[in-house]
Amino acid sequence: MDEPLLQIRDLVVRYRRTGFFSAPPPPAVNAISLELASGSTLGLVGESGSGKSSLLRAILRLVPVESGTIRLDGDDWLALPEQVLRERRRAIGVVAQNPFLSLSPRLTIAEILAEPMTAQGRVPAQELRERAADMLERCGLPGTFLTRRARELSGGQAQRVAIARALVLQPKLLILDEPTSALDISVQAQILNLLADLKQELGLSMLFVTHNLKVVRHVSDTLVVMRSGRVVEAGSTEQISFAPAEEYTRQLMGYGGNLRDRSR
Amino acid sequence: MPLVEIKDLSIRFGSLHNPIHAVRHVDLTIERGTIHGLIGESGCGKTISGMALLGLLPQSARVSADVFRFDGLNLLDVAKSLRGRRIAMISQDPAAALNPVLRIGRQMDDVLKSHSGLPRFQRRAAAEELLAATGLPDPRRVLKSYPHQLSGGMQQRVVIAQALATGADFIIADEPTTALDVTVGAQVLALLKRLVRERALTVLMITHDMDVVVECCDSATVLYAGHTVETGRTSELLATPCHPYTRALLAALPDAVAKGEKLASIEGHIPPPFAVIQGCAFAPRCASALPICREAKPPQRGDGQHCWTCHLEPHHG
Repeated sequence: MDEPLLQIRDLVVRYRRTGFFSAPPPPAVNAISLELASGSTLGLVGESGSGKSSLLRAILRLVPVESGTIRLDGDDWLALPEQVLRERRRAIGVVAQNPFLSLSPRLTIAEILAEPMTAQGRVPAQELRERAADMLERCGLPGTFLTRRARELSGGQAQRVAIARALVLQPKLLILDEPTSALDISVQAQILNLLADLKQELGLSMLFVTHNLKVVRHVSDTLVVMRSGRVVEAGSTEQISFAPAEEYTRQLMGYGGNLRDRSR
Repeated sequence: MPLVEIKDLSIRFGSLHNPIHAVRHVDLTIERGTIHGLIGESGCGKTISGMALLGLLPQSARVSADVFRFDGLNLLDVAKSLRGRRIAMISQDPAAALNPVLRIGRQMDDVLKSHSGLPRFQRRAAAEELLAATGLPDPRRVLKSYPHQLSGGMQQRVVIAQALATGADFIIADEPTTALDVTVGAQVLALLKRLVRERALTVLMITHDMDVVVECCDSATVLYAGHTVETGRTSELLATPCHPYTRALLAALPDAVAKGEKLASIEGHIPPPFAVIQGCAFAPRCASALPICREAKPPQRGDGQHCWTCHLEPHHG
């Protein structure tokens, strides 16, 4: 068995105290350990305030970590110095919840897709355009979209652009933070299909954060359920969805029931 | 007699020559004491239909309908006077519905003052009672709090209490759980179900989330591009969807197929609101469309309970 792509051990993230005399707040992420095997999808589920976003930010090295280790693709990720980090960060792509907030309204799609590439050093304009068009096409949009701006797109199209931008540097890990919760059901289906295709095609590993248990059950191989900074349940998706051990997970799984069961 | 009866509602903006059709042909019947779901994707006209029921459409809207009745009254004339008396609304984001600089006590009191006519000391007790009825554990403390001191679920309960405070018997809930966590949302839906039972309320649940419909709706209407395409009891609608759009929508849910299989997505886009629609609005995206679907308006099929509009003969596959 290969080393997992992402390996987190006893990670603790704690934010600063609010005042000089106030007690330090409880950790937002409290001794979390998880593993993400190469080429698989890990679903991360939890209510607001459970520490999902803090965990993601720690993986992206956007918040200071109190203790614990993160190994990404063989590197001791938290120990990398700034200069090296800048170049290594291309190993992670991020797709946010709302594409209209994550895509600049002023830039054309071509400029949006070029930005990650130029941030990594000089790239000839011709190559920029070709790579952008290629990735856009893989994400199901024709090259003619390159001259458009984000506000001219529908929600689904904009989310495809956001995915293309996340993938344009060929990352190994794709982090998706509620990528479909701002979308309609039929568009959500298109995006989930696209992600499944891209995962196959590019051999991606995905960290999929969501509220929506139905979505996570469909896409992920393993599941981690978080509550107040801790992992309350972790294991294979089948195991957790059919035999949830924790009351909280049971509540999440029971919501809405299964449509197919209802229709029998 | 149903509480709400709408036949052939259309809402149009813009000029005669360049009309924008927000709602094209909506039929909606809501029985008393039930929760009725109004399902559809963005831009299908579900929110604006709710606005029409509340009399909140802007001046520029041109509304026409064969029947547009609430409890026997013609809503085209009286919607504004019913709002806040018989019809109340719960919006998607409770944080936006509450005033951030006033305590909950003051905001509850404002509603009671203008609707109940009770003297001040009784209003306070009434506010406490209403908050307790929505399942808030410590109503006194809530009355003294500002909205930001409450969680999203508590805020939504306060908004529901305000809707009850108006004395309305019909509540329009526009995606009341979208901004909440799944488990909190489930609690709010359970609360609404209980209130409908205890207080003989009727609720129109506007949503795009099938789980919400499964959780709490007795019956539901599916909208597509401003048309009512199918309506019926929730159980029938989910078990034997007859309109191709309803079927496609259910097939697009992540739990409709086995894990790892492709989801059935609907190709194409909804027609824009300025488009002229000759035949069936769904025909260009429909997998089983016939030539006639693009030319003639589809007929109404089904019985009074479960009906849909489609050219195709019904078959349950």
